[in-house]
Amino acid sequence: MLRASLITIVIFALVLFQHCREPYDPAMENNVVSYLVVEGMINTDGVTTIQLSRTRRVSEKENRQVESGAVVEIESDNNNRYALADRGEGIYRSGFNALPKDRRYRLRIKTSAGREYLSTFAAVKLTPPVTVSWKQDSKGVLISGSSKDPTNQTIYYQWLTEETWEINSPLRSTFYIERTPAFRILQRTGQDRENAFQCWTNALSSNILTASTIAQSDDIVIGFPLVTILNGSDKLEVRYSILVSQYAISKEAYEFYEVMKKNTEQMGSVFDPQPSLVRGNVTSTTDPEETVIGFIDCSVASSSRIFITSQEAGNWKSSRVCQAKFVENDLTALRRELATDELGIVRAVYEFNPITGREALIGYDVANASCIDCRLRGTNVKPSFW
Amino acid sequence: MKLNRYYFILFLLLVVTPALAQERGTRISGNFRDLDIEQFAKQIESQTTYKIYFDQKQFDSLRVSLEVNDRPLNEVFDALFKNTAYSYAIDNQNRVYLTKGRTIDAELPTGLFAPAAGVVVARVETQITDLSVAADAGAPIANTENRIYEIGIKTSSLEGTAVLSGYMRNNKTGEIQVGAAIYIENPRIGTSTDQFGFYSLTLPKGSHTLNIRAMGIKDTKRRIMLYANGRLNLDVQPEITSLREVVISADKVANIKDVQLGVEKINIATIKQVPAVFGEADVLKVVLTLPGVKSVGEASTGFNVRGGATDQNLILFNDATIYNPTHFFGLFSAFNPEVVKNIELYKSSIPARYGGRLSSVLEVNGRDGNLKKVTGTAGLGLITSRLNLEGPIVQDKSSFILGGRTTYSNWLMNLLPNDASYKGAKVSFYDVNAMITNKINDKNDIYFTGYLSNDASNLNTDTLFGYKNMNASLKWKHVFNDKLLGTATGGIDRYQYNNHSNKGNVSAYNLDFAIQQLNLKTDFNYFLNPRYTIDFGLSTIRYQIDPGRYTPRGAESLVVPNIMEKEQAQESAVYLGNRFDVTPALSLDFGVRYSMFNYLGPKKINEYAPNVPRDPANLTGSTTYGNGDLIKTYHGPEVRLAARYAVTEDFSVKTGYNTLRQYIHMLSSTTAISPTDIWKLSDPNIKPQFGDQVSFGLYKNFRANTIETSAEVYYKRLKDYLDYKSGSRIVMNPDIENAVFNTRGKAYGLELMIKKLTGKFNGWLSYTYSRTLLQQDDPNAGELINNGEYYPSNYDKPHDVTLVSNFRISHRISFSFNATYSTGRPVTVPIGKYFYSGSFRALYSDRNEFRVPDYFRTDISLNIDGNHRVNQKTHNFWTIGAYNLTGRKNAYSTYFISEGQEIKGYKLSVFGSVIPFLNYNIKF
Repeated sequence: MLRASLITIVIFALVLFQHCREPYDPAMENNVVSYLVVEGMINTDGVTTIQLSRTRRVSEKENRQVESGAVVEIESDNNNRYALADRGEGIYRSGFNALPKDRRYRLRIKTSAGREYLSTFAAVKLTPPVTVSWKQDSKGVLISGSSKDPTNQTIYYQWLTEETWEINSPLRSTFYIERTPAFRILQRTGQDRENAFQCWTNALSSNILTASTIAQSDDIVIGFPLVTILNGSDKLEVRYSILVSQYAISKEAYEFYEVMKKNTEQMGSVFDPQPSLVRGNVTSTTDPEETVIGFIDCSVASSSRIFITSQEAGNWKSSRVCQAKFVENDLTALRRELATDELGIVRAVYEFNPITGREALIGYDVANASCIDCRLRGTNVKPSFW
Repeated sequence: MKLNRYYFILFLLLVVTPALAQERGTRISGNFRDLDIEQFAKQIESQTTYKIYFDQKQFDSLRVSLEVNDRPLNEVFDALFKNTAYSYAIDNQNRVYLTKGRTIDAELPTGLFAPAAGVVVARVETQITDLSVAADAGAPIANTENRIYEIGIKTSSLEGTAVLSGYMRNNKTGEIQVGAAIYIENPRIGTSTDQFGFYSLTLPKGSHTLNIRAMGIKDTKRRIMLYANGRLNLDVQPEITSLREVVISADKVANIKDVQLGVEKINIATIKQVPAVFGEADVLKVVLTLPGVKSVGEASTGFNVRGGATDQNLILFNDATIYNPTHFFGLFSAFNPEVVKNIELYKSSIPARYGGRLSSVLEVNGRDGNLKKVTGTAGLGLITSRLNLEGPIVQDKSSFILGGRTTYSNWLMNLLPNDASYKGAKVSFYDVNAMITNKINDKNDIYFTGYLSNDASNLNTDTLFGYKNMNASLKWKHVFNDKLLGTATGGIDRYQYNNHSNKGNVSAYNLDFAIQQLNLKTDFNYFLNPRYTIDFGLSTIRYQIDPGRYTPRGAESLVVPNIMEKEQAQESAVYLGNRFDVTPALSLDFGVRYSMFNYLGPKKINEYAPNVPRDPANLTGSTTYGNGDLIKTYHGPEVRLAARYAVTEDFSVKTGYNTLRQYIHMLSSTTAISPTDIWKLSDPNIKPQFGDQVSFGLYKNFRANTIETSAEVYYKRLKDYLDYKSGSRIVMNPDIENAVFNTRGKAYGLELMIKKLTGKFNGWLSYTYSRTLLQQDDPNAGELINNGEYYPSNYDKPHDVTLVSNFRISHRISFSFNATYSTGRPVTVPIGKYFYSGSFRALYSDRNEFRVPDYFRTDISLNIDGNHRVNQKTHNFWTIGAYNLTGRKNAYSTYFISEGQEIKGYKLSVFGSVIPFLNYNIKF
């Protein structure tokens, strides 16, 4: 009997908590909603960048729907206006401003459709300096930010990160393929070989990084986790850098981000709250009932950049596999194998023919194109800070 | 037997009657003192030529005290046996036959032996004392069907009515028998035993046959001769062979006869045979199979009755309020099935003695311990083990029952595969019950109940959720007389949670919450006459809430201790309930309850500008009240009306109307009772909830009441039910009125049910159509939800079909099968997406605009009993089964998260597959 019950228990254990989470795609057609989305921070001590976009349907594959052709201005509470220029792609950017810190500011937007929007006035918040540190454990590298406001005034923090890392092509190739108009294999120039070897790429933070010290006696943030680089990532293959911008934000902005975070990042256990509508502090003066998403606060960031090399990170190893495979020198076979630009030629393979007494081209080693040409993963223009 | 009786009549008519014509020459004189029948007969035989015949057994309780002077024998016996069950007959051979019990015997002498005019039995003293009723020490115990029990001091007049009352007990265990029906056929008068096993019947004087019907006992009857008000305790035999037959109601015609609508009674035998997850008999999961009862999902034993919220149910365990009736986040109910006797759910007509919650009252009644001998049970399951012990403290007077359950499933969690999301989760819970019943004397009983349940679990997070229920109550029951019964109950109920996190040394914290109530109440039942019963009483509750303590954990923690101000209040009520049978067909139940709630200091109360949302921006100031200061009083009447009209013996129509008030609120950011929910008292900024309900039902039984059918409809209104502002914070919010707004709600539905109670195949099938809608259309109260339109509540599930069935294969093996289907519950889902802060984010729909996929589940189990020999040392039985047989991944909830650049939708199911289980129980 003991044996029987043991078996039952094991079955039970296997089935109980597995498959508890399954993809779910509610059929939600015909929902055509297109609300204005406003994102950015008024910077009184530099360039202010605002992005305008619109909400899209869940089923739509395309990325953002940007809002172009709007007139965007920063407006102070004593009616001074500072224009932002439409830089395309929904990005609006001011010149380098040095605005009085004792005033309050808001954003005024007039879309090309003639609808007008205003954010609420926000006071200028100054941010204490940020310290960025990192540590390595069995999972990878964790980068975190710390700060301290001796005046106990900041309380609500937000961070934005910009990561940059160098990538080198593991395989070097002397060939490149021209697919149109005809399939041809051509020799690379020496310069092109160099250009395809060393590149840099970057990524902006994609999570909401906010913290509050309201429940603590001191306005101190210690080791707030910003970025985790898991083992095997190619970010630390050569050298890595991260720029952390820290903002002091208002309580309202913090709560806005908290709700957004709850709705979109933290859900997934049995006890999570119901989602709720996120609005923000932007309203339409044309139709106060209109839903607008976004929170425009006013803060002067403090920033810090650090570098980490692969040696410093315990001779970091990327899990990227760049293995070459042989394709015989036959035009049909080559065309078939190299039909898309995902693959490229690494080298030509010759074999000594004992009859002719010469080496003959018998085929090519091919590999993933991104292993050969780093420009497929980034840019070979060296960043100014590198 | 019948034939013999006729022969006997014939014998009397033909032989005895002619003999009466002549005067017997032999007369009797003497002073007889406390003689038994044998002594008395010998004395007569020595004085006369009469020979006296009788059955010793029939006369063993007879004592004769008589002074006669030269009287004929027939006069002596006439006087002696007047208005008793005894009779005599004298034949011409001077043989005297003494008999007892047969009505015909009692009547014949009055017709045939009419005393001659002028003949007076010149006696002063009492003539007969029947020992079976004489003993003042206690009421007689009626335990056989064949005897006639005589009640009251014999009088010559059988005019008018008398009250018969007493207790009914199981003769095997001494346990009181609750809800047993006792009735006479003609005229049809009946009652049922109350929660103490007490009954009171007003009957015409004379002889009657009491019919007794109840679950778990053999149908039986008792014959009585009622002379005057008196007591008769009934000992009844349990049905030993019964193999857990589905019996949902004590009385087979209760559904037709009860005045109240929407009352469900289920005894533990039924609960035990319903397959439950992991084979743990689960009191609350069975409640969920009843029409009109729903839950938001599998991991929530919190339930919704007729569109009410989970906090609108008053859950009582032997009069103690249980605030969190679940273990392990709702997977198991916190009631040990081994100490539970039965449950009663009132979902429509709530008796006037209950109040304080809007939706329902769930009474979980504990068993009494065995009064005769010490017994126990032990159970081994995959998740929990149980041990229960019960027995007499003083034989037949007081008994105890002790029960405990604990889990040992931590090892199971560690066995999980590495990618399972709950690998390494810690699960720990236990519950302990102790109950003592003590019969002081015939008029006084004392009951003690102690209850403790404890949980400490995490879900593989670094937060440990611990919570606890603690209850103790003492009840004193006093029988004033046959018509008036009173109880006084006092108790303390406490629920608390203690969550703590060790995450990050500087932010490690403890989070504690507690609610405690001290109760005192008295209840009286007055049996005015067989047609009119009155209940009345008083109750008061002192609530004390510790709304939150957030404190540092460990020396390194920088958490600032934040201790929220305690709050307290007094809730009192007085009630009067009447049950009046206007005619045998028409019965009324009408009551009124007046409740009052006093919110008391010390407390700081925020004040807000009028007619604007209660937001921090609209705060105008605050007032601080001192200890015990009266801050706010809410009060009002509640009416409870129900009427039943029995069209025929097996068809009745009922209707009811109720109003209720609820002064405490549970606040939760989730839909299930979870370990971070808090309870909040009404205060100047948070109004009490108010609800009323009108309902109507049809009840029809078929095939000699073996099949019951019912159809009920209801319409319910809710006022000032709390819903949450978007993204509101509930835990540790000192200004909680900022996070909530009042809604108006309406709920309506139709409930159909068919039950088969007896036979090899039994069970029930129910269908419910119900809607629950809420509305927030006051812009002054806060954000409008769904533009001020009605929106479905979180637990609005319109269609629900449930089948519970049991098939008895043999006396030892039975097979149970359950199936349930319901509409998926409403959720708020993304209708769009937008890019913000580096990711695509979901844009959510109107509140509760969409629904999760429909719910469907089937369970089976096989119950195997060891054997039924009564006299063996231990009895054991096995339960083998499978929960969620079809392996359907029923969605508990759905959610959408941004993973990198994508928004992904997931549905979450608590049980993703079929779950086999095995349970072993032993009874000793």
